[in-house]
Formats: sequence, C-alpha cells, structure tokens
Amino acid sequence: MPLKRIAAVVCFACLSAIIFRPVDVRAQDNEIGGIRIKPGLGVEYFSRTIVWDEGQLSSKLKTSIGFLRAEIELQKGFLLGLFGGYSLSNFNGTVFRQLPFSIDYEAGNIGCFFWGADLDKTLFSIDPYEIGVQAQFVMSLGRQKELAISGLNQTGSLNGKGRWQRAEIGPVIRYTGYEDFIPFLAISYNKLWGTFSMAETVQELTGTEEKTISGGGSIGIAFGTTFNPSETFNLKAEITALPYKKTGGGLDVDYGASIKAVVLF
Amino acid sequence: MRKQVLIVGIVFIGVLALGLSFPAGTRPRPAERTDCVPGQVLLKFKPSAMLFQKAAALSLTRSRAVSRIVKLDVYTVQIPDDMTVDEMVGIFGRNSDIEFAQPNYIYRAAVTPNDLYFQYQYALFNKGQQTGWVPGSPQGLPNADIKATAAWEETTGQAGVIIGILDTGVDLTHPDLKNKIVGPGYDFVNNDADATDDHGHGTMIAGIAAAETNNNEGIAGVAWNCKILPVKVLDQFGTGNSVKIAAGIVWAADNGAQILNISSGQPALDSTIENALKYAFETKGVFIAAAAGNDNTSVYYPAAYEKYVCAVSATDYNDQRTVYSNFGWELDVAAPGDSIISTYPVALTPAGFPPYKNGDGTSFASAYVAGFAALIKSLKPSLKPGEIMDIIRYSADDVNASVYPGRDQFLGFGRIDMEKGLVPLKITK
Repeated sequence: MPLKRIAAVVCFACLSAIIFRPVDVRAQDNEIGGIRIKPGLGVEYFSRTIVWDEGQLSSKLKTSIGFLRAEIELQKGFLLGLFGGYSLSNFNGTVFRQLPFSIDYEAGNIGCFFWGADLDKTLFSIDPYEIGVQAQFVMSLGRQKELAISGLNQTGSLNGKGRWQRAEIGPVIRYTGYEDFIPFLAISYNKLWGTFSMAETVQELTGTEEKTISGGGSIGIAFGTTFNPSETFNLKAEITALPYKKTGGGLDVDYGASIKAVVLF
Repeated sequence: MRKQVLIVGIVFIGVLALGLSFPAGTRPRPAERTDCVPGQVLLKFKPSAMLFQKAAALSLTRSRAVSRIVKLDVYTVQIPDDMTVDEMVGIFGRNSDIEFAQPNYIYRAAVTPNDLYFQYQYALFNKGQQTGWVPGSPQGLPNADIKATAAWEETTGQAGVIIGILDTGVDLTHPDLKNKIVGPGYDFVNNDADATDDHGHGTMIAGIAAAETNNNEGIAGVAWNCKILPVKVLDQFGTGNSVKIAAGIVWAADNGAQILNISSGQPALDSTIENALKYAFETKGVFIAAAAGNDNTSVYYPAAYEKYVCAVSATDYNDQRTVYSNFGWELDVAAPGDSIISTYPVALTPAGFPPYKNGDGTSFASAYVAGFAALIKSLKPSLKPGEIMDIIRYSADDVNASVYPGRDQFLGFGRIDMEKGLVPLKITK
C-alpha cells in the first residue's frame, strides 16, 4: 500500500511538473525530441452501480471529478494522456452491519485526489473511418472523512475512507469526414473496483469494517465527439452507458459523461 | 464546414434525445424496482396546465391515468409495459407542465407479531394501550417501550444463539415455549436432567426473552428465533444457593449458552458466584444479564459484579423508575418491569385460564435485556460480551435525563432501546 501511494505521488508530481513547467508561452505546443505536449483540463461525472457484501447488496457510486491534463503525442496517431485532480465520490447507501453500531452511510461526498493515464492509438484507417484502441486507468488516492455519530447517549465518531480504481480498454471507431468534428463510438471492457472502510469509536467500543466494492457491469459503450474548432482549442465530449445486472435480477444501465478540453494558452 | 458541423450536431443530439426519451416500444418490460408498485407513476400537474396539455403529456408517453386523489390533484398513471418506473419518472420530470412525478412507493408496517396478547405487551411496543386484559388496567405513555417492533425489522434472532435461563426451571411443555427449548436442561436442585419449572418465575423469564412469536398464540418474545436452555437453580419456593447457581452458570456456559439471565440475587459479596461469572464471561464469552433486585436498596449480587454482569433495574409503562428497583452505580441499564405479561406453567395455571400471567420486578426487566443481547449476538456473532454490554448501554434512552442527566444510580445509562442498538444508524452530514 505505501508503494502504491508513493507511485501515485510520483506520477502526480511528474504530471504537475509537465503541466506547470516554466516554458515560453509560444513553446507550449512545441516538439520536444519529436514529442508534442499539450496541457488541458476537464471534468467528468459518472454514476456507477457498485455491489458489495459479496454481491448481495448494491448502491450507487456517484463521482464528480475535475482534472488537469497533459496530452503527449508520442507519434502521429498515438496519444498518451496523463491527468490528475480532485474527485468527490458519493458512497451513499452503503450499510456497515459488522460495526458495533451498524451504520447507514448517507453523508455524501468524500473528496480525494486522484491520478490517471490514458492511451489512444490509431491502428488503421479506411477513409473516412479510423479504427483505434483506447485504454485508461484512474486511481483515487482516498482520504479520511470524519463524522459524528448522533443519537446515542455517548459521543461517537466515524472515519470513512473510500478508494476506487477504474480501468478500461477497447476499440474505437471515428468518422473523420469532417474537418473540425470527429464523432466516435467506442466499446470498452470497463472494470471498477475499490474499498470503502469505516472505523467506529464510541467510548471504548471500537470496530472497523471494510467493504470491497466492484462495479456492477463490465462492458460499456461510449459515444461522443471531438471538436477541433481552432489550432489552440480541442474539446472532447463523451457519454458512456454501462449495462449491469441488478442484484434483484434484470438489467439496468449506468450513465456517465465527460468533457475534456485541451487548450493552448 | 460550419454548416456541416451544425447539421451533424443536430442529428447527433436528436438521436441521443430520442434514444434517451422514447425507447422502442417493442422491448419487454424491464426489471422493476421492488420498493414501488410496478407499472405505476404518480403525477401532479402544475395548476397552470391546461386539459389538452395533460392529455398530451399522457398520450405522448403512451400512459393513461387510472385514478386521481381529487383533493391533492395527484394522478395514478399506468405506464407502458416496456418502460420502467424510473424511466417514466425521468421523462415526466422533464415536462414543464408537471409539478412532480414519483414512484408509487410501497409502505410496510413495522414488524408486528400476531400473538394474542401482544396488544398488552407495552414493553415491546407502547402506544398508550392498556397494560393487561383486566378491565381498568393502567394505560402507558406512548413510546415508553424498548422499540422492539422497529428492531425486529433488522433481526428477529438466530436459532444458533442460546439463552440460558438460570431460574426455577422452564415449563418444557408450554405451547409458547416448547418449540424454543433446546433440551430438558439441567436441574441443580434435584440433580437430574429435567429442568421443569415448579414455581413459575423461570417460565415467565423465558417467555419474555424468547417465547415463540408470530404463532397466533400467547405473547411475543424479544428474541423470536433464539433458543432457550433451561437451568433450574432455584427450588419451588424460588430460592437457591451459591453452589447451585455457580454450578448452573458453569454448566450453561459449557453447554452452549451465549447469553445468560440471572433473575435472582442477595446483598452480600459472593466469591464463588464471582468465579463462575468470570469463567462464563472471560473464558466462554458469555453475556450475562442480572436483575438488580426489588428491595429499593443497593444493587444485589450477582448484578453488582459490574465487570461481568449487565445490571438491570426496572421502569414502568410511563418510563418511570419503579419504586422497588434497587439502585447504585453498578446499574447498567433499565428495562420495563412493571405489569409484564408472560408465559406461566400450564401445570400451575388454574383450569380454564390461559397459561399466562402478569408480574412486576427487575427479574422481568433483566429478561428483556437478555433477549436484546441475544438479538445483538445473532446479528454480530463475533462481538465479545463486553462489547454487547456497551452496545446495550450506549444505545439506551436516558429517560430520566430531566432529573438525572447521563448515567445515574437509578436507571444506569437509561431504558434500553433496541432500535438504536440494532438498526443501522443513519449518518448524514
């Protein structure tokens, strides 16, 4: 666990160094040894059904994230994105029944830093279509949220900490028939997993419970578009739908949306 | 180029909107949530909505109004078979003529058992009813109870949790107990394996803690599904001695009891009993509840062995301390002990009367705590007896806070509250 944290911090530091490095404004989009680097920013929201207690129970993980991003064009048609930022994850509906006093968590968002990376590689083109592969990994670093227990005749406190990771990979098809507007459709294997732990203290009574959570579905479909209205601005908007099997049977769909902007200041 | 982008954008958004709003009508009915009536949505139109706007809102979504609460102007709407309630609530929610749209939620009553005399068991659920079947029985203060019906939503206990009743024995044939008893127990008075009750006190204790419940008969017990281990340590006059009680504690702990109830006591320190309690508590992990005593004096032993025992005083149907309850800082909690109806041995009941009886005393209060502890143990088997005791203490309602705020010598931490101890506490910001 410390190694993971160190790795995360190092990656975040590298990312920050890339984004905030002191460079000549005119050189922001310069080639460095044949590699083009563009800074950017973005926001994402996703609502993901998570199952816990060995799939017996489920709730929604609703997450809003804001991030800074560096897009590195390693070669023509091969992009590496590194990003990091702050996320607000809402684990409402998670119930901890193994703590001395059972807890129904409804206290809203837990904020934490996160980092991630994505790859986008164009494999081949059949004019006007382009076929490629996309992959992404996001890892939230987790942070304690302290809460008070009310209703008992003694004071009590809780420490909640939620962490999640998400990995996805899959093919993407783009229509390149328009100059500034590239719609795309992607299918991905999308895995989300993590933990939500809660420590309880009421006087000398203490307990800890950790929920292992996992995303309800694994195959998602995303569609969206990239706008390239100018040389200095690039906008990518995307909507994701992820079907999952409900714990009580039947299918439902989770949705997510993201907007990423790459700007040359 | 700009025009091309605009056209594609409009088509894209249009397809997206259609896809999200009106899925194809041929798909089968999607799986529904279970907390609301399937296929129904409740709607209220804004006062400004005209009749044709209401009709359009329904026909465009292939829905139809099936009823209306006139005074509230809320419609019950039947939605298409291929749509879910959530989808339709979303669609209606985007209609500017509609004030609100919501599922038709299913409401369930808190768990109320069907036992004949449950209506008199104010200790479990007090709505201000009469506390006995005798006309003129006193009426209690609503909510002066241990919140059993709410707690039963969370658990009614596990059969694997056994409550040892160290008392005058238990009527092994009682219709409300016979299916709850794990075996004949042991009789330390007569030294045989038949702990039949020849006094009545032990049968009443057993019934309060774990009578068979929801069987259309008699009373409801606190721990519906937990089992009873009868251990006879008191004779037909209700008296015993250190040796018999200590032997009973050890035997019960060795024979599977995870919870013990001792509704007897005396005022002197008793090292033999203390050693037996220590063995049960520390070595065997047994939770022990004991009555404080009924002489309005210092807490009796074994209840006063606070390290090992949860000492219980008695409240009445108004959440007031009973005048006879023993007091002292050893007290942990209180529970109802006045006008308590419970099972009574068939053999000791006059012909023509049901085998149930009313009684008063901290003995009965202690039995409620034993039942509560059995439910906690059922829900969280890994808890140690000291942790169970803390849960019972800290979840208690400080019902005499206006006079003695906090822990006091008369009710300890307060009257037990099973809802707080068992049902998940909702933690908001």
